[in-house]
Amino acid sequence: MSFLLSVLIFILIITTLSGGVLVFTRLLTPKGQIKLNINNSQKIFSVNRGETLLNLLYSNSIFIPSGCGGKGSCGLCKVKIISGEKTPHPHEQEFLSASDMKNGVRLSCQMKLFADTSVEISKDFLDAKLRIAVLEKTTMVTGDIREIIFSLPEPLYFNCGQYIQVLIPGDDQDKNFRAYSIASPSEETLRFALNVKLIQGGMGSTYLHSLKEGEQIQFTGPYGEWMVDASETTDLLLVGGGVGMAPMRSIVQTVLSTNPRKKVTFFFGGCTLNDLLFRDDFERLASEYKNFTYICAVSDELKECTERKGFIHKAISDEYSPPSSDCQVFLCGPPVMIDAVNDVLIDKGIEEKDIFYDKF
Amino acid sequence: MEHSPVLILIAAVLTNNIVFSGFLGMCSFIALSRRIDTAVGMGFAVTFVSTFTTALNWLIYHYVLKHGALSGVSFLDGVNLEPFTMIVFIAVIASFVQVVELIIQRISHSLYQALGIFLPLITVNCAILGVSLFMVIRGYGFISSVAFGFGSGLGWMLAIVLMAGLRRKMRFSKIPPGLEGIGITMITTGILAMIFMVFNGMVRIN
Repeated sequence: MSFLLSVLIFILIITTLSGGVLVFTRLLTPKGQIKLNINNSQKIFSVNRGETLLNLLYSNSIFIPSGCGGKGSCGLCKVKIISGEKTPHPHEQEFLSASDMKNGVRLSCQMKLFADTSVEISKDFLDAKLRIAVLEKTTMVTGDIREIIFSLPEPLYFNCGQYIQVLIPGDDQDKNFRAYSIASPSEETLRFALNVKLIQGGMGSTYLHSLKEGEQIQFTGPYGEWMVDASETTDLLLVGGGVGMAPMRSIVQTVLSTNPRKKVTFFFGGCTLNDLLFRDDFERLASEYKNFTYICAVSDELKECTERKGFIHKAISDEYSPPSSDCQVFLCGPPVMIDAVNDVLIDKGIEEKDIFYDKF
Repeated sequence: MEHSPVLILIAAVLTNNIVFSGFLGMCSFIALSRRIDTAVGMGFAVTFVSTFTTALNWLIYHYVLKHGALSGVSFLDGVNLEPFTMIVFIAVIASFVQVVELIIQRISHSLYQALGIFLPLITVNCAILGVSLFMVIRGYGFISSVAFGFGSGLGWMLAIVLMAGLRRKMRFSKIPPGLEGIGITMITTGILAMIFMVFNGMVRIN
């Protein structure tokens, strides 16, 4: 009897505590509407108080880039705050430069709105719409990387090196997007390819890997500030690692077919021979086009292998000599690789303003 | 031997530091010790929460949970809630933290920036639960418990701020590749713990 009573009292205590939390939440959660003003009254939304800016933008169909689904770990969803709470949280500061901080730039996923706020968003993002693509073909390229080709009902105009954001279906409340670089040349506007590496438990990659032919995805984009200089005299240096291949493929294919006299050098690094994606394609291109050089390196020990051994930044340091004319460098790969390559390039006298990179 | 609350407070900061002698609250200790300002913010939040939850838990333990606490009421005689102590403590801490976060968010934005954003991380911080459990095991009175909770929070703050300072220096040191990040932090914590052992002669409270 007293045993039952003990359990009852215990349940009573827990219920009281949870009830208390519920009552407080009810009483203290700010209610009502506030005004969200975008680009100097170009658009004004009346929104619920207390939600994050990123969610509010998404629910009003403004698709700014965000690669991590609002967890504050990618630093892509930067928005300039014109009026409102401009001080960033300590954990946002990792992603903000000194000039960002001065100009009131914050990560929109970390900013909850409690008062009327005005923000400034680049026009490209305001125009971005949720679009549909149909899966045309999906093939495994290596053990864990899949090339997925989508066809589009209406043309998508993008610059080579740009990325799109794929909507990962799930809970209706959250709009989860993951960013993927387009791997196909930009003159193909009615279809595009993505190279997706399967990450165990990863939301985006497991979804994209499970898709079958004929299924639809929703995406926004294109995004990204990479802009390849169209001039023939500007040399192009591309460095990719792992799935950092994707934007580089797009750039190589686009530049070679539209600008056949531009000098393009592509360094690609992987851990094992299997990681050297599309090697045959690139070697074929290199023999076909005199202005294209392809150099790959494998970092893990290999016994019977004629490949270059070692990390890709070593290969660059040994084999790349910067041109006397202008040059543009695009880097895409894991942060360690980018930092190492960046150091090598600066040593070689390439100016920091000519180096563009995408760490993931 | 019953110590005075002041002694308990000092001991909780130095000799019985919750990080260095109990090795509790390690996850947030490692995760948030990269920058001094976040370490200070988190330290204040832990101090605040541990002080108040110890007080709350003391009251709940002594007036509800303790064996025989409810025997004043005739039909509750024989009810024993002691086995539930840990679960109730966890629930009290979690709901307290949640309510405080809501209040702070409502009343002051700058306080929320400084303290509030750390609160959700504390909900499941074992240092906080550890303090409440130690207070029961060591049989402290109310004042002593509050002093112990406050001291433990201060001790945790001292530990994480020391660590953040060291880690800032270590950013420029040559660390063997396999030990970068968490590895060297654990080793440094161990060495700091040994250094804190010199305080042992002052007072022991376990």
